[in-house]
Amino acid sequence: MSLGATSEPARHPAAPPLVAPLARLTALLDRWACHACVLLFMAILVTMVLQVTFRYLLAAPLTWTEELARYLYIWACWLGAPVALRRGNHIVITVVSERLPPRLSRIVGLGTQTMALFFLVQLAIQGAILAVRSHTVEAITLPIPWSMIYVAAPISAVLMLLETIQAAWRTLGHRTQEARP
Amino acid sequence: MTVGPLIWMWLGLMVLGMPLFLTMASSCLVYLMANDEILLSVPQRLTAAANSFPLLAAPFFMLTGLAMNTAGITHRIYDFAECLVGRFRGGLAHVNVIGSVIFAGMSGSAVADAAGLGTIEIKAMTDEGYPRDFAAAVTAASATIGPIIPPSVPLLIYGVLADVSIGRLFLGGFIPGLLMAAALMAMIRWMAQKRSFGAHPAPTLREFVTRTRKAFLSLMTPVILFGGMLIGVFTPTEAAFAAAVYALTLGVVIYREIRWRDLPRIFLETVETNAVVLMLVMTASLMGWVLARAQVPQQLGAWILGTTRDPLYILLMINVFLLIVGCFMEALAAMIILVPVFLPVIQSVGIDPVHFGLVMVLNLMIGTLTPPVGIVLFVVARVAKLPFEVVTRATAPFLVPLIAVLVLITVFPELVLWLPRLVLG
Repeated sequence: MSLGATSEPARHPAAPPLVAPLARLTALLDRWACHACVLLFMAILVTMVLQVTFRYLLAAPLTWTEELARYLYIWACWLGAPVALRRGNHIVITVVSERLPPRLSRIVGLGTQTMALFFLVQLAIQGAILAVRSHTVEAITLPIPWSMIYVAAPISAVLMLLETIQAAWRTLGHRTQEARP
Repeated sequence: MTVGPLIWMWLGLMVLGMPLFLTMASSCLVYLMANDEILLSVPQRLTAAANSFPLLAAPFFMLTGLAMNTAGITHRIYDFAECLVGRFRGGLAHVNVIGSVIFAGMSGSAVADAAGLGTIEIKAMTDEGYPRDFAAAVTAASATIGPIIPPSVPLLIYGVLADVSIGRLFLGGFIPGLLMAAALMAMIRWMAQKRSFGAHPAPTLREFVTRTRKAFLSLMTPVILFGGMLIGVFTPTEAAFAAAVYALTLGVVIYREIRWRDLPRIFLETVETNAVVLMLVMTASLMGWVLARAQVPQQLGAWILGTTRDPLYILLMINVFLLIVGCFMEALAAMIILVPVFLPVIQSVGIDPVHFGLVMVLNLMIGTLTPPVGIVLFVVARVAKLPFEVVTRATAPFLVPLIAVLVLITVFPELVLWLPRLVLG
């Protein structure tokens, strides 16, 4: 399976240490996340086929398809977020930020990235705690604990965290003016 | 910490160019930490917002739009629209509007319309000597019909938030959407006269039949989408799923313009686009929850109801407020934060939430055409390769017919409510 959208981040010769290993790590994780997104979506499609077939053609509705589709969807949303973050596809308001002088723009960029890191670290920690605590709570129609669903949040947070660190690192290391990833 | 600093911090981060979902998430986090609240509710609320079966219709609407644009279905729709209205003065501009109306019946987003059909429309119009900025303006203005004529991602999300029947909301969008098309075409007719644009010769009967036949299977997508839903068999999610599978089958098996090995890429793009929207839904609903805990809706409601209890006056006030908000905020985020704020007020004075939903979505769609934050303007400027300012200026005259329709449906709720009542009782 080849996913055309996967792009290698540009490596800069003057980059600070640890940039190359970090870039390799995020590229690898991104490839996994992309594959997982495709698989999740195909799983949603299969679940919907089952739901529609059993309800309308066989008149024997399955009880668990709707819940399964919802949980797969939650996972697809959480995992799609870092994929979109890496490609700069999240909605950003650039009216002001793109008119700033380069130096100020880098400082502002680092500021918002630090703020993002602060949130993502908290999301990872709180999400992990929530996942552990909900391990004893079972889903309604499926034999799985809620931890399986909640754990998507910290995983997504860690992926976005690494992407943001990499972006911030690049902003720090570069003397040149560069768009945020 | 009170709500004031929360709002200022959020606006500040937004202006500084932080991704929108992170601005909402991180300012809410700081607010909750400053008030010693339990932070477990952050991942819990975010996840809960995505845990909705109706919302699952959103990726299927996106997949349908993507399949249409990839499979050359958009071209067939364009050719069909050309033989319908190309003969009027300002022909291709009318084609642009009618093409958007047809596309609106299959896709649920203004951006998909502007990016997909828009590319074809702007090229065709400039090839024929229309000014590029005029072509871009017509494309941008008509793209806003997309989320009004069902299916519609914003109406779907409104329905989930306000707990309103999605079938009713979708049906309620038909007449306002057609009114928007009529108003835009009247405006184009008038401008075409002034700027003496030409027209295409009327198609021969044979040409008409050929083009209709070529577009026929694509034109069946809305029938599949609404057929099952309206006779009450399919839920919106199942209907959206059926339409997406139909559009993919057309592209892969019948027209053969999508190869099997393109499918993973298309699925990935669907999941990614969906995640961008859902991250907004999730973080905005976290923010809505924070505002609700701080009693903001109650205080605002009390303030509005203290000024007036006249439903029409309240709606007009909210409209003016939303038009201003729409200039500065992304439409979906604005809607998700403001629905819980306004809904109690609306219901307490007896305004139908279906009516309010259409007014709100149409209003915020006009907001996608107003600077400084106008998502449709950004997309069209990119597609037309024109500066943002040029597209903004050219689009401005088209705000007049769109706002006229907004005022119409605000003042006459029956324009929205008649069709759902007729079909669903």
